[in-house]
Amino acid sequence: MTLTLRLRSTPPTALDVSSLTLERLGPLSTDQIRRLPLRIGCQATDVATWFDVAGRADEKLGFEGDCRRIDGIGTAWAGGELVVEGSAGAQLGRRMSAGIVRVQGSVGALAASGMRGGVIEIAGDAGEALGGPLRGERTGMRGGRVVVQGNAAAATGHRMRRGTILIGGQAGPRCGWEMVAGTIAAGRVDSTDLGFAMRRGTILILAAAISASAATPSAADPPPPVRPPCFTPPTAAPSGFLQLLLDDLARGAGTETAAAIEQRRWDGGWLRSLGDLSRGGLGEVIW
Amino acid sequence: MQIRSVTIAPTFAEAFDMKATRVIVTAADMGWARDAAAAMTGFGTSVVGCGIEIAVERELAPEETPDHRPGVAILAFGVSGQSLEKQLPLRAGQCVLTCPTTALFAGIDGEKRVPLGRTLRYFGDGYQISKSIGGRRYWRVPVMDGEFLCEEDTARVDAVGGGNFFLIGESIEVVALACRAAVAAIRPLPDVITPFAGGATRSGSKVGSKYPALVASVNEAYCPTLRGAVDSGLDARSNAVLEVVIDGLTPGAVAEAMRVGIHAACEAAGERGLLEITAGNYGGKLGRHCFDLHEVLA
Repeated sequence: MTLTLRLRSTPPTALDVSSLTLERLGPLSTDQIRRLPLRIGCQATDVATWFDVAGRADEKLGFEGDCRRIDGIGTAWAGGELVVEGSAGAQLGRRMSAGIVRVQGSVGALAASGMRGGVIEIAGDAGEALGGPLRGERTGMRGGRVVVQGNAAAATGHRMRRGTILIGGQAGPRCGWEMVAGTIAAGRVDSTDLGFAMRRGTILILAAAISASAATPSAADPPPPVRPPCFTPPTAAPSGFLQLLLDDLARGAGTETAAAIEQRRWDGGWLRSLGDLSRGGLGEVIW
Repeated sequence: MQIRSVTIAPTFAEAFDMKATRVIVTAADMGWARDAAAAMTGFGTSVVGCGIEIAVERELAPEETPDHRPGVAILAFGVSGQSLEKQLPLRAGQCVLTCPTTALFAGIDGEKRVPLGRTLRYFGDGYQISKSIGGRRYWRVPVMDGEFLCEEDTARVDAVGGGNFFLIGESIEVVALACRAAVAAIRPLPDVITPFAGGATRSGSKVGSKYPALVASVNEAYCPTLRGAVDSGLDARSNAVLEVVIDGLTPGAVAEAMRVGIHAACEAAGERGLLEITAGNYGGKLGRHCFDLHEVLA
C-alpha cells in the first residue's frame, strides 16, 4: 500500500523531510504520521502543517504537489519505492542504499549525495553537484545508479567514488570534478573544466562535447573535450570494455537515451584521454 | 545388451567428485580466440600430472559473449578448489593475457570464487583500472595492443570427473574410427569435456602401482600385449582398446555424453570390428558416481 503525502502549500523556504523514511513511517498510523515534527528554518512544525496524509507506508511512499522546496526526500532510502509526482528539492536520495526513487519532474542540488546503492530515476533535470558531497565531506556518491533524462547542472559527480550516473541530455561545467572512481555518461557535456582534478573513473560522452560558449555542438569537427597538458592526447578507446559499459548503460535508460546509446555503439570511432595528469590522475574521458 | 552387434558390458563407469569452472575467452576474431584457448587448455589432460583437466567446451558466436566478439567457452576441472585457484590464474596469465586482442570473462555463476583478474591485474603495474559494471568487477590492464579486459573472478561449482567408456575392437583402425565418432558426437553437448588429446586415451590407468611414488599406473587388464600374462579383460579377437574420458558439470551431463558417445561409436564401427564397450571402475569403492552402461543406454 502507498502512503501519499500531498503538499498543501508551497513552503516559504526549504522544508527538510529527511526524517520521513519508509522504516520510520511504516509502523505509524496516519494520525501519528501527521504529528511527526518537521523543521522549516528555525521553526518547529509538523507533517500535517504541510502535507495531507493518506494511506499506509507498507511498500511505497509518494509525494504529490510542487515539491521543489522540499529537501531531503528519500534520505537513507533502504528499500521499496518512492515516487515524486512533480519536482523535488535538494539532496534527493541522500545516503540512499537500496530500492528505487522516481521523480517525474526535476530535482535540486546534491541529489544522490552519499548514495551507496539503489536506483534514482529523474525524468527532468538535475541540479548542481549531482552525486556530489556536502560541504566538509570527503566523498560523494559511493554506489548505485542515477538516470537523468534531462540535463544536469554543474559539478556532476563531484568526488564521486563508485556507481553510475547517466544523463540523457547535457552535463554542465566541471563534470567529474575531483572524481575518484565510478562512471558518468552523458549525451553531451560542457567541456569547461571537464574532469578537472579527476583521479580515476570514466566520463563517457555519447554524442558530442560542446564549449561553454557554444549553443549547439559542432558536428563538423568537434574538438577534444579535454585539454592538454592535463589530459593525454586522444587515442582509440578500448572497445571490449566499452561494449560492456554500453550494455549496462542501455539497461534502465529511457527509450531515447537507449536509442542514442545504440546509435553511438555502431557509429564507433571512440577516442579516449587520460587525466587529470596535473593531479597524478588516471581517469578517462571517452567520446 | 548389444548395439549394432557391439556387446555392451554389464558394468559401470566409476566417477569422482570434482570442482569445476567455466571461463569465456573472446577476441577480435575467432582465430585469436581459438589460439588463446588452445594455449590455455594445453597440458590439461589429467589431474594426475597436469594439475587440472581443461578443454574447450564450445565456440561462441558474438551474440553469446559479454563483449559481443567471437569467443570460446572453456571448462576446467580440479580435484579441489585450491587446484583451480592455482592453475586458472597461471594459465590465464600465460596464455590469454599474452594472446593478442583477447579478453577473459567468467562463464558460470556460484558463490565460491576462483581468481582471474584479481591476480592478473598486477601486471598493470599500477596503470590497471578497476571497473564495476552491472554488479560484476572487471580489470582493465594496459597492454601493447590496447587493453586486456579480465573479469575479477569466476565461480567454481561441484562437478563430476572421470566418466568413461572403453572401446574394444579387432584393430586400432576400427577402434580409432569408433573413438573419433564418439568424441565428435559428444563435443557439441553442453557442460561436458573430453580432456584427453582427441578426446580419448590409450593409457587407461588403474589406481596405484608397484612403485610407491606413482599414484596411477597401467591398466594391464586392457593391454592386448599382456593378454595371457595377466588377468586380462580381453578375448583373443581384441587387439586394441581406447578409453573415452568425460568430465561434466553434473552427473546427468556425463550420463548423456556417455549415451551419445556409445551410440555414435556403435553406429560408426559396429559390425566393422568394434567388439565390445565396457567401462572402468574400482568396484564402486573410490568414486561416488557410478554410471551403469545399461542404465545410461536405456
